[in-house]
Amino acid sequence: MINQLRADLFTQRHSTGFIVCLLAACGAAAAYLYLQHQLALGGLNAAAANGVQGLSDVMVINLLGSLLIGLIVSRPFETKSVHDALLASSRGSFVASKTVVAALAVFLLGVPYGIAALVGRATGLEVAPAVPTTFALLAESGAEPDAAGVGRIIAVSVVAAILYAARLAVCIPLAIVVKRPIVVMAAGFVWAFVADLLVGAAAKWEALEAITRLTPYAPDHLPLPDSSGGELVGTSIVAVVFIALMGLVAWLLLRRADIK
Amino acid sequence: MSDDVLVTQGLTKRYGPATAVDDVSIRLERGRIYGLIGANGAGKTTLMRMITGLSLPTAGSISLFGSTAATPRQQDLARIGSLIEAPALTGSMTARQNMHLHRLLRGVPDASVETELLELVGLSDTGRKRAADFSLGMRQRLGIALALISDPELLVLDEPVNGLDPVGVVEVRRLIRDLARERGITVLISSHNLPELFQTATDYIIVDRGSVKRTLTLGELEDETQHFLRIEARDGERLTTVLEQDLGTEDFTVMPDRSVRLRSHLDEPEKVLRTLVAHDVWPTSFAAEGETLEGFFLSVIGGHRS
Repeated sequence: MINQLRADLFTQRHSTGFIVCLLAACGAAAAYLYLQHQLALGGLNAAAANGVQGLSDVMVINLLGSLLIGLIVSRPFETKSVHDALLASSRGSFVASKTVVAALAVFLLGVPYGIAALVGRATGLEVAPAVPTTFALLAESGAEPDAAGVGRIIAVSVVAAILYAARLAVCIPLAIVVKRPIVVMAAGFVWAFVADLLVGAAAKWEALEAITRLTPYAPDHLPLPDSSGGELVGTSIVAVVFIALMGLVAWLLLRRADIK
Repeated sequence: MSDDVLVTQGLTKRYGPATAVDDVSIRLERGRIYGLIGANGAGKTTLMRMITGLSLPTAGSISLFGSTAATPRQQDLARIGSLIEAPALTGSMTARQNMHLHRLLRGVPDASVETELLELVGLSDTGRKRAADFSLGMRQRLGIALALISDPELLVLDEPVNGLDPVGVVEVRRLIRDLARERGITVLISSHNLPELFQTATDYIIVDRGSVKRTLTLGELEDETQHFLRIEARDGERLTTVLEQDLGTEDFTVMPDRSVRLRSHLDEPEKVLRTLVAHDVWPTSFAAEGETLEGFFLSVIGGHRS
């Protein structure tokens, strides 16, 4: 497992796809903060304001996150490096390592948005959220944060990034099955929005709503600037357990599968 | 300690109604090079996938390195190096980075193995060139180096010279022979090309439609495919005496049907015939015979593939 993990981390360090996605997230986060500031100042017209939404964390992380999961999990099947990986360690270790690295990659995509929120608040930048996501709400308003405020922004950002990783974790078993990064990206991106619609529909039935509360798709789990510590911990636990569950599903799918 | 590196018993793989590998029982010994020969779709790659744990058998057992477990254990699989279908390269990395990645994967602590293997396969001077920009031959050689990174005892190579130019074929062939001779590695190498394997392998496993049709050593294959002059005469004893004393050769075999297989003088049958007649030996049958490698292969698989 450790060898597999070290190899996967080494691969990502030298992966053009990973580096490009991370840089794109950094650029998008910076641009999003600036454009939200322009929105607040009234410097953008309505049409441009719609375009700003395309740079929001919900769009960028879901798109690039599902692509990264596809690259991390599916690519070894394309390059055949999975052959050596499965000679070196068990299928369980292979899936466990991929799950950890995939979740970490999506988490890292959220970091630039967290930093942007922190910068926005620290500089007293006036912003108008184009989409009311956690990061946008963190950056939105409030006094310049003191040390505790900075800690809160960091904590909420970390939980929001973990939650993104959990919401996209369904891409891990999907990537094991389809073995095509581009398919995983398309399916993951669509799923991120469809899941919210399904959860919204499920809210009509009490039993279904109770079940969805155990998933990272429940609206209750969205970390907010004023979320309590208990809520943040609860959301983190749900997210981590869901990621582990998706890893388990991926392992069950790979356990006796023929590898081409 | 047993010299058996791999023993399969009744190994079978079915995909729905189709049987890809059917009741295959083979034994591979340490330090030998086994050529797995079969036409496309004969089941070679499926067999190799089962041996390397990539595919689970429908029936039968695989014993690696003397293990009594019916299916390969992880610690036994870790003693295998493989190149199946395509080299496991990460195109965005250099040769050295690819070596480093697989060394991490295999948990090999000694970093000097990277340099050693790159030198072995002649890729030590590729610098910052990405593997994606390598020629086919370079990719194959790097794939072999990656397969060797954990110092395997069994090397499984699926058509490693496919698509290589003649120089590349010679290089890979020499590399495989050196590995078996100098490191004692057992090599299982597949090909649909018997003449190519004839120059590499020490043993042959001929498969067709998922079944092993025949196993034989290099010596046996040479016997099967050797060309000779087949001579019959009423006085067999006189025939052999003339061959020895007057033609000056002992390179012949008397067959159970009393015919003689003469392996020398293949280019001068007229001289042989003249010598026999001159010494009053009148052949009742005189013909040049022998199989080509392809002919032998076709005869083994029943000639139903062209």
